[in-house]
Amino acid sequence: MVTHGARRLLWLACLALLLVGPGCRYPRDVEGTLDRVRGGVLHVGVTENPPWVVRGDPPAGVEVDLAREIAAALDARVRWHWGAQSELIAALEQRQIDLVIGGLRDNPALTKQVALTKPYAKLPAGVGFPAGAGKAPPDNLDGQTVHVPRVNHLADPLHDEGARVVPFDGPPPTGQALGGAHWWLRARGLTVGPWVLRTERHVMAVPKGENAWLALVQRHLNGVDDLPARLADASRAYPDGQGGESQ
Amino acid sequence: MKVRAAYRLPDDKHRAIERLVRLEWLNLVLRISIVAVMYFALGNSQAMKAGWYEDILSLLPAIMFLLVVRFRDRTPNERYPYGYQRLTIIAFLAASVALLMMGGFLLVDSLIKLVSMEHPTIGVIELFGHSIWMGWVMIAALAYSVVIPLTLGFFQERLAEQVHEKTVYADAKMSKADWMTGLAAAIGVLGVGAGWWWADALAGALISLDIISDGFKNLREAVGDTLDRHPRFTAKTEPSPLPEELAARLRAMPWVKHAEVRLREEGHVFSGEAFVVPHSDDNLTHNIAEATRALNHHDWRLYEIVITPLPGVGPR
Repeated sequence: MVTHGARRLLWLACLALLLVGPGCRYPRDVEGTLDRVRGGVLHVGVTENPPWVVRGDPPAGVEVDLAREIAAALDARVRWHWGAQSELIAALEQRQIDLVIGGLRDNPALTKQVALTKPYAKLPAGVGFPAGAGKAPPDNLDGQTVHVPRVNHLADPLHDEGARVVPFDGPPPTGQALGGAHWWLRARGLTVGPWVLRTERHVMAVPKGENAWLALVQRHLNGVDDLPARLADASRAYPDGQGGESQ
Repeated sequence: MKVRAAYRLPDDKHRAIERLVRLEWLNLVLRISIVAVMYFALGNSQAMKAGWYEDILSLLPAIMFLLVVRFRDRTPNERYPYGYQRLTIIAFLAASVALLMMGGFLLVDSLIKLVSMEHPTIGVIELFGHSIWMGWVMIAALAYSVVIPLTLGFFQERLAEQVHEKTVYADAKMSKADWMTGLAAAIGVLGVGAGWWWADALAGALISLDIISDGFKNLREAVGDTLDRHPRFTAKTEPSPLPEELAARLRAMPWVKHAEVRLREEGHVFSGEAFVVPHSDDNLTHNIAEATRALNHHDWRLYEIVITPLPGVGPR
């Protein structure tokens, strides 16, 4: 009898909240970000990180375009705020801005401070080889020399594979094996080897607890199905972009 | 050293124990599945976290019962002349301490979130090509985590009562009360969806209080058993009348002038002493041996009663 009553109570409670839910848009923000942005101003924190965010007035890049699309869908104007990632994240934590972009990658330290979207792009990183006549990529990386940008996060996994890691400053050397995101290697005309050394999981950041706003951003990102084309365009337009250096 | 004879369950009780063991295996497997399901739905919700820890802790009684039931029927030996019956109590004590500590940790954790006014984030996930608010997934997981213990708890309770298995009985009681924590967590999650940042941490705090109270109840019970408190039947909170029954039975014997009995619980069985004042010393050892046999067969839960004869005056 007790269990029967308990179960009924549970269903009643669920039903009541289900009825209330759709009527007033569910989930809702704790601080009402979405309502404020709609038809108003979207404050976006940007950190330079080509091809995601490219410095300029106005800024350009893959994520800048995404942010513009979100604002357009809400009939909002965008105000761009340049800053270091740590500054922008602190401002976001205190709800001074609404969105932070700049090639952010999923990581537990960020999750403690702000709310991250689910990764909208999971981009494998590996090694690309110059496409010589009849030359195929080697079977393994043992003893291979791989050139990587000075700012990179592939040195450790490359060492683990037995590769010799040579960092370069400035433009990438031609005719050499390079390490980087697969899309970036392809854009440089290299043949991509079968290794996935890291997967770069790209996210955007919003304030904690703004669940309606987060859901809207997430839904927009989920709806983007031409990301490879966008990345290819961006890497043509901004050839210096090295793909995902966000730290 | 004089070693006790092994305790043997009556056949029907033995079959009931075997049924209970099968039920507890099923219980363990289903509860592991609950822990897995809850893990995938956790997100950043404090209420879900508290519920998840509770689900993990609720694996303990099943695991302990299954372990203990394997070892406690070993024959008493030179090293352990009283046998292994009390393993049950040790397991019960350990589980209750774990509950208390985890409840305390979760309570502090939830209160910190309340005080620091942390806004919980519950995002959106892609499921079968649809973007679904994670809150609905959490509530589905909570429903799963409530329905199974509720159903199993009903059978556990009945079987555990038959064989006087206190740990399983306490577990069943807790499982049946679990729907409240499930409901609290669901309301917390729905509250966050409604824009109330405090709903989640508050639900988390309530759930931790429930865990603490479960832990406290079990601890009191376990300490009582360890201190050889007046035995109680599984399903009842009043002391068992068994000692008085045994004393009455002794007093009814023609050679007995006065008798009193003292019992303690050793896990799922009772042992103790009887103090007897005989009318005369004639045939005393024979009478005591007869009476001992009679007492030990009085109830299936009785393991070992030792009868001590006292001279003349009352036993106290």
